[in-house]
Amino acid sequence: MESKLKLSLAMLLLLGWAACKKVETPKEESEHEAITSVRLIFSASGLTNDTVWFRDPDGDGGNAPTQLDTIFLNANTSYQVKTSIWNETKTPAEDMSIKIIEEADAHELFYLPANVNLSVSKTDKDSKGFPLGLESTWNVGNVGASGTLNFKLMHKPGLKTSNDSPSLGHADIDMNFPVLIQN
Amino acid sequence: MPKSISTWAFILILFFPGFIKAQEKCELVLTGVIRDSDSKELLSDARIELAGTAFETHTNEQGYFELKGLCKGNYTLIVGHASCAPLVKKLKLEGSLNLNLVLPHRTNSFREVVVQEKGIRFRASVSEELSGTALFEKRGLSLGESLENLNGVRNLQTGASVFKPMINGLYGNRIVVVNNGSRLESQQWGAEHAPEIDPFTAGKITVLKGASALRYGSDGLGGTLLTEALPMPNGGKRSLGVFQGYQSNRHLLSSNVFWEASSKSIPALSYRIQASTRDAGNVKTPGYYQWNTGSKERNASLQISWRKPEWSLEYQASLFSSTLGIFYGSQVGNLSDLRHAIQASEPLLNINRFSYAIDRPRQEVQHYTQSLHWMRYKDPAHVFHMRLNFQNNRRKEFDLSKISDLPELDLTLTTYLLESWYEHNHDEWTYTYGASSQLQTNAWDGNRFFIPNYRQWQNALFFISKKHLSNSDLEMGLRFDSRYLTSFRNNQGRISSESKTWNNLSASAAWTKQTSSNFRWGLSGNLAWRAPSINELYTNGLHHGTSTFEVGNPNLKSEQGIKSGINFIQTALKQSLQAELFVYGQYIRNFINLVSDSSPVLTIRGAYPSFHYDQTDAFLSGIDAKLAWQSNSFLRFQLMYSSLFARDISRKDWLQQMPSDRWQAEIQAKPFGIGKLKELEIKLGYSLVSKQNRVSSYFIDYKESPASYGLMNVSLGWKNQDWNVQLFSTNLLNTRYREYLNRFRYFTDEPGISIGIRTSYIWNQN
Repeated sequence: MESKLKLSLAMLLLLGWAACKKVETPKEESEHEAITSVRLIFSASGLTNDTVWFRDPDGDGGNAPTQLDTIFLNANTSYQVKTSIWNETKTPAEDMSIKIIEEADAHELFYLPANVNLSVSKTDKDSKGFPLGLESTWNVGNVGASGTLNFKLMHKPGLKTSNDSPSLGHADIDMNFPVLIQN
Repeated sequence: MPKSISTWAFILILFFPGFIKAQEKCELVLTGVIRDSDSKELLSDARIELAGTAFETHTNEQGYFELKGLCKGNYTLIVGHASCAPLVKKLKLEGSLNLNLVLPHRTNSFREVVVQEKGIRFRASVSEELSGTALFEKRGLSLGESLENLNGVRNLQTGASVFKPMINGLYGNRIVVVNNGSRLESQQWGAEHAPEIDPFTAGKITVLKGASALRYGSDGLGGTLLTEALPMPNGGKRSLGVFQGYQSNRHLLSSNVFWEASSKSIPALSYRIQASTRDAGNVKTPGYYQWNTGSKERNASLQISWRKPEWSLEYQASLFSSTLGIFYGSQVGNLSDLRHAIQASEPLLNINRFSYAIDRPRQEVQHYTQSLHWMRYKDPAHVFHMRLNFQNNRRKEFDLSKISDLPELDLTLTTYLLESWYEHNHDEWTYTYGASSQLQTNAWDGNRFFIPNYRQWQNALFFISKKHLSNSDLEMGLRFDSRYLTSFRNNQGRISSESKTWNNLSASAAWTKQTSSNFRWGLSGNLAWRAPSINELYTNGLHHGTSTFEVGNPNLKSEQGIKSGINFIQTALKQSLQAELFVYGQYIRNFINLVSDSSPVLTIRGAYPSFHYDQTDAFLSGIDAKLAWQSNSFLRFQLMYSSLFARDISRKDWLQQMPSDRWQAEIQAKPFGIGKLKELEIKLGYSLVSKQNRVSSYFIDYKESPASYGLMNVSLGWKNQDWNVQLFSTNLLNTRYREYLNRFRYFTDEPGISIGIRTSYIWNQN
């Protein structure tokens, strides 16, 4: 009885020591699967910027976003746009778009212009034929005052259909790009 | 030592022919005294029950009991006492009867009874208790739900699956939860973390509202919750118990099985093994199902006891494992989603159908406990205890929003506790001197940082004295705690640590006096303190369970609370009417509170409501009242009321998330018979919860507090010595309502009607 007691006591202490070691060397606090950045690439030439970024490399909270580009568009032009989503807490940065494509049935991207002559239509589809939005066509109208584009990635497993409201689901991304249409 | 079967199976019973006279009406009286077989001492607090009837009572300090208003007929008398095997006796009642019963204690257990009587009982404190039939009626529910109808006890809910018990308005680590002698050490930092205890392991659940149980900790500002297993079998007794339960809402299936035995050839040995399961699907409200609200539980436990005449050793191990779905419609994400969701009358994010499937968002929690308790009682005046306890709590939380398969939060809390204490029994006094030492570590894993790793040493010294007289009880305690916390951070590869120390003294006192056979009153007071918990100090991040951004404050000080209460129990009309009142006031200095910030936090996912931890001074006062009337053998009526006023003194405002007033009425009729089924009982309950109008004007809530509501419950039960069967329905009228204390009240209604059955069968062999 007594020797068993000693043995179990020793085992407990050993476990305690092992646990302590792990406690003293914590993981890095950055989000390991975070979405930190959004990139839009425009097909047509002649743009001030054919690549547009939003970047908040340390994730939620902490430091403010480091980059928020304005989208400059030429009036009365049409663009093919490829959108990609990144996790820049990792080095090298991880392309989260791949995971979104894997789970396309549960995701949808939205481009919601406000105060600008712009219409966006999604050209890619998920496995059920519902819109996804990593690829899109942008039709630009006349020059106007500066406006915004509300960009959203909605996560809605089990709920997605063909014509969902942009507010259906849980927002994985919800941010605004400034937009300016030039001649 | 080992008693013969016949002694165990039955006990010497002496009949004193009472006043026998033919009577037509139900006016017979059964009285008696109960003594200990070894010491011939009169036994107080033994429970006397006539199986299948409403008649039950406890012996008073003189070992005397009385049951009035009995009809002629055959009864099964059951007598129970702590640490005794129950005594069962068939009675044929033709006239009033006076019994003189002798209860055998367990093997060599008289000394131990002394210890139990004086060591574990909280006679002087104000308490609510759940045992026997009342506990059977809650079988299949979680611990929090089981306690929901006790006066002064409510739950802070997260949806319909997570229940966190709240005693007089306080919850979480302001309540000390004791699971079969060991304090539960779990991740107590979230409002959506339910206690990791399988209620099937408990034979009795006690809620202490007045003086706290200082032996288990100093931070029980709100009270103490104790679950205790039934005493171990002895003298060759063996039992097998099986429970099955079902209820229509959630298609909830629960089952429990236990096997306990004591050895005749090795009288020192006894053991019990137990396992239970619980499976529930989506909750159905009166209008719709709630998607992803299923839950699954798998629990098991083992107890082995080795009792010698002079010492005993007890080993316990238990595993609690649960998976809980979090309502899909609560995962609103950012502020604009939240506004949409709150304005909608029905959840926007929902799939309106039944399923047992549990998807993201969900929690997976495992709690593993082992303890070894050594006790030496060679001289009953000097009893030594030593307890070694190990607990491991692993909590994984899976958010809806992420794309990886790993949990977002993955925390492992490990606790080692060594306690030793010495009890000195001297006349009517018991003195307990003790010391404890605890090491706790928490390590995080998973995708998201929420609280840092930490290591905490806590050492304590305590002294408790109790005086037990025939008509009064006194209990006083003092405890000194020293807590040393080191937290470890890793910011982009740079590892840093920070240490903090807290030293505090806590005290508790309670006194109660029986002034006449009809009146008992008591006073209690306790001074408790609570060091800020790890999340209150260091949390920094999005709390997906609540869709809020929470920021800790490393400069928080300890909370200190003084609670004092007065309680009265008055009986009248030949004890058929009983009134109980508990009035309390509690001042809490540096009350730690999560308060909302004026501006939201902006993230790539949009804006989130932001909260930070703040300290204020608070004053809580309230009453818990109960009135019970037992007409005769047939009818029993009970009315309970509880009300709480929780003030933020610094801001001259109400505190948020506090329970509103509640009335509960219950009418019970038993026993009666239909055809061949005799000894049925029926119970009808109604509870009325008022709208919470005492809401903060400083911190504006997203939505007004929900309207008041009433719920009706009904049950029909039948039992005999082996079987216990109950048909029941909760929310009988399928009332649509929302509860202020449910954090999902912004998104969804509460569950609608449920109809169910629970059955238990116990096989005994002596």
